[in-house]
Amino acid sequence: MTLIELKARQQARVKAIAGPEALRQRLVALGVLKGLLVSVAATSLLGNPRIYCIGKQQICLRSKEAGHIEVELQS
Amino acid sequence: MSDSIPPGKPSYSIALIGNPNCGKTSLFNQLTGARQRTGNMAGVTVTSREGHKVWCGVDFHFIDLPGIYSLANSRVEERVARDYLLDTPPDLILNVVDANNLARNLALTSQLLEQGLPLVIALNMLDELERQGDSVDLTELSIGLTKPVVGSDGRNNTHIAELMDMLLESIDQQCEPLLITYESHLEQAIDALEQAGLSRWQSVRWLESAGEGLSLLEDDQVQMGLRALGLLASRHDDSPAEMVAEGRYGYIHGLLHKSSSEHRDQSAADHWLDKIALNRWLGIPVFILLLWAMFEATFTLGSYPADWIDAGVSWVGQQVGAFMPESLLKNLLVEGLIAGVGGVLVFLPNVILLFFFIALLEQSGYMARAAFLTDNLMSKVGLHGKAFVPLVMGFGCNVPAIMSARTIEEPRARLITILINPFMSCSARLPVYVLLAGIFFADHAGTVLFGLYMLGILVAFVIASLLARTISEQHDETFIMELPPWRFPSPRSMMLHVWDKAGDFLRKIGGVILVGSILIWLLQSFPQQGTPWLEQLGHFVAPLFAPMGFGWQETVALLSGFIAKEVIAASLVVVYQTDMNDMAGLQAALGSALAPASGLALMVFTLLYMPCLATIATIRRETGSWRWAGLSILMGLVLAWVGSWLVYTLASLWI
Repeated sequence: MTLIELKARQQARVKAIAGPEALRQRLVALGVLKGLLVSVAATSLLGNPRIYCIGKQQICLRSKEAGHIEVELQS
Repeated sequence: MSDSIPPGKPSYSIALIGNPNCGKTSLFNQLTGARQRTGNMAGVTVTSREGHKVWCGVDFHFIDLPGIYSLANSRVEERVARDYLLDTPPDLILNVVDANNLARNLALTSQLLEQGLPLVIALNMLDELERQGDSVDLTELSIGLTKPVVGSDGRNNTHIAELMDMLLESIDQQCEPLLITYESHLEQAIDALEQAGLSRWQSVRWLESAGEGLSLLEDDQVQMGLRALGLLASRHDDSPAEMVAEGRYGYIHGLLHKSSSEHRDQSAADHWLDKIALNRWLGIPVFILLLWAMFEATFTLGSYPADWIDAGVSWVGQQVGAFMPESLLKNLLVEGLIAGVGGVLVFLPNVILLFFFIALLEQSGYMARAAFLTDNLMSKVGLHGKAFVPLVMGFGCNVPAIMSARTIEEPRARLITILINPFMSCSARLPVYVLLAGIFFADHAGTVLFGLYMLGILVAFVIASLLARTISEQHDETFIMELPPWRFPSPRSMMLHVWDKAGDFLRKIGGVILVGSILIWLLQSFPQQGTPWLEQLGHFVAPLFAPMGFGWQETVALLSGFIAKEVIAASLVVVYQTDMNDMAGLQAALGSALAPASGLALMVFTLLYMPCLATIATIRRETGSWRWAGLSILMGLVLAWVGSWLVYTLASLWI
């Protein structure tokens, strides 16, 4: 599944980052790395963008970008 | 060159580098005492700033570079920092590191270390870390990095002496480039590039930025690099950037294993304030309520000190009037200078309050949250949440606001943000609103003020969506923003900021408003027999403004506002020169000369009509063409006329 499908109060781990090279570089620079825990921190009124807790930081992503981040649900 | 410099160079250059929001600019302020903006949102320092400090007889020249996450991305801020390091290498780098997100911050450090640059590390925000029950062993970290590490705190200058001593000691630091061992295929690629004549750090940089982060390579080197990238892509799904990051974070986790007491993954970021500010349903109402409260407070709180200043100005006017013999000079002083300058000086408290609130929004971290809340709306008009900062800064002054639009990468979004910025009502227009709202809508002045700002925002959005439809999209827009933690704004930094803005306002009063007032007075007083020139000019242009019920006085005031918007208020004071020579007199005169509907129309006209000269020059510089500056002027004039005519016509029916 991708990050967009993650629901509130669910936890997942980043499995892979796809998408255009520039986006991948940007996410890596911000410290979005494979293996980090992610959860949804906030959702805007219309559901896009959302804020995710990724590792130690909170990052705001639009669905378009979040859709490139593959995650694995944690129980 | 080295011969001409005596032993013990007269000045050492020190560049501050760090992630956005790591407290770098606050530290810079403490080091240099320089007065400049710091904001709790990525990208407030767009160009570098400089300042000095003398320590133990040695002059240190500090340069504050924009906050960056990596030297390998190709964004504007990163390019500024990267080019700076290569073109004018500083004597020493002060790498500011946020202790709360050590791993991510040290990733940048590792790039600097690989490049073999002389470095001192300031570990910032240690107090926040300790509050969360964590700690870092500075000695261990220093041994691991083989560089000096000093604890620092942007809000409290107890660490400054230690930091300065460390900088002094570290000049002429010997440095070996850091060597991180990467994955074996990556190492092969690095080897291949090194054989093509690149140094190791250049090879790594080239790979992690996929050929973007270096310039001035020879053709065969580029060929070699592309071949290496192709080979890597065929062997791995991960991008080279991820593979390099894996190596960096491997190195960093090895370091932190020894020096960090606890290494938690999940942040303690879910703060109760976020439960309200980012709440799906409450977020936007709270945002609007906050903005309304800001304008209400700007008006009501500001009116008390404004009365004192007004009384002071009247007193000075009366004293000068009483002690000077009747002469043209006396008239110039009392009716031109004191009245005009005093008429704008009265609004200093309002301006200070407005800047105080904007600084509060920025430094607390709310601005980034507001960008998140408004992103969806912004995306509808071809913008994104990041345009929010330049727009809110526009409430202060459009000139720096337009400059801060540089943080927006996509040219179209940037151009739109620049062109709509003048509709964000700057603080120079505030005096006109406060004056007129106080006369015509005394009971609801705060609400009228809020309504005007909202109208400005509305017009900005409509224009943005029109522009988005006419200017073609160039490439994909991404909106990725890190949310800073909530921070209690440091009183010191807030003071510096507000003091600085108040200084700007006073300098403007001493300059352009002073000259403007005298000019208006001269035109008003000559020729001494017959109709004054100003009135002639006013009558000449007045038919254009007659549909809104403006007299020649308002016409003249609006014309004078082309220079700077504060001059409008000063002109009104001079042309409505009353015997009482104070605000009450002006209010009475304006109140009887204008209908309330005209008063409202005058405010709307002031809100929308062409930007001031400084803003036009900035638009010209930032867009690189007179065409856009011209469009901005034209758009403003047309919208202002149509808008104020509509408001006048509608308001005449209701009021």
